[in-house]
Amino acid sequence: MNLKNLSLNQKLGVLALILGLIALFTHDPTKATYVRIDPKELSLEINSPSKFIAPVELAEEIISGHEFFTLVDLRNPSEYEKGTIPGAINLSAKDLFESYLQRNQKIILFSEEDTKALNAWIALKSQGYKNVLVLKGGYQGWQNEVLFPKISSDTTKAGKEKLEKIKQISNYFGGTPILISEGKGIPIQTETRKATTMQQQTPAPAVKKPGGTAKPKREGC
Amino acid sequence: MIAPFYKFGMFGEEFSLIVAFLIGIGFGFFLERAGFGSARKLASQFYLYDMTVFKVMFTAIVTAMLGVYFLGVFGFLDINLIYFTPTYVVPQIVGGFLLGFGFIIGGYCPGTSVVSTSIGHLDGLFFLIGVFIGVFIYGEVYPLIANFATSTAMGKATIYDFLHIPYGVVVFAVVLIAVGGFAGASYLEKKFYSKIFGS
Repeated sequence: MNLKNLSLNQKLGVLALILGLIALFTHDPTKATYVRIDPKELSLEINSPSKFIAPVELAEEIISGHEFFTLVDLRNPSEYEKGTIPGAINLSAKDLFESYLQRNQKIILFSEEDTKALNAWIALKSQGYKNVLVLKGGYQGWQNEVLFPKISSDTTKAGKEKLEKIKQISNYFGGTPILISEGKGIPIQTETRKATTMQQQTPAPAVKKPGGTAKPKREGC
Repeated sequence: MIAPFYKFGMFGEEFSLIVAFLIGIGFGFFLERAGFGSARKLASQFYLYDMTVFKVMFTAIVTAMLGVYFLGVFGFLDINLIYFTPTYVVPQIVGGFLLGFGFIIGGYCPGTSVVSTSIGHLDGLFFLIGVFIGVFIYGEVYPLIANFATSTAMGKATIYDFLHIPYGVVVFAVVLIAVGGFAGASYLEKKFYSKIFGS
């Protein structure tokens, strides 16, 4: 068969066949991830506190709803069902890379304490995820500082304002601040909510609050 | 530089819309150049005497597949980050039939109706209005059919994962099917053209 006698379409067909044949003998491109990591930058970040976000800071971000981020609860599904931070999705550390999380989106990780979330942080960072944060103190930190913050009475004006702010944040998420006096914690009575004991208090259920976190981006046609 | 650029944070969401717009213009342009702004051309596909639609679409599939595969092999593209429309087997088969019926009745698919409208065809415009009405109705009845629409979910499904064969083998097989399909389509065109219009 003379190549010159072939039409352009037939030549292109032959080219496609040749490329298809070559494809048979190449390595599987899905098995490789191509990320460029600066080891120096990564080791600096590992030791810096800037990867943490304080629970109160996160609470304010959720309330304001200005910024889009994905909140990832790394605990067991059973713990997640019992109660989580509003808007959080439940993923195991293994599922992180299978999920729709994207390298350029803001991701906030938390587990019961810090350790598991920090491991996941390193895993994501070493895969080239740019904007990953860890909730300082994990879900316990959230409970201690946002849902049931311990506060001591402060009669100065600045102190009162601060107290009021903590109370508002706590109430927003269905918690109650605990007033510390003479070494005993007493839940503060508020107008909107009857004081309850810690045991009866249920943290926010795993439901999405509007404006809290970004929905997975729709793609495709 | 490694693609996909958007997922590696090379540009933000707003700029990605501009990129999508430019790609869309390019897509529409080549659809029009292939003659897909004409319902006659598109419908002739179903009477087997003009297989342009099949040929153009399969050429696009093979070109994109080979491009994606070899860019991945050479490390310019991280294939794992490409977005896949999640697979829902039964709802998508039903949807495929619905789209096919619409295609035969109306003479367009949603993309080609936009092409047809933009070159001034009135039938394309009416089809496009129908598309929007259909989208609206679907959105309104979605709560009633949500259970069905999300049934038989397979997530991100690929042929090579499903059949447990190497990716490269699938690429080769698709090229074979395409080249065989082109030859078959040319044969059908000759046969049915003379049958319908006389030789």
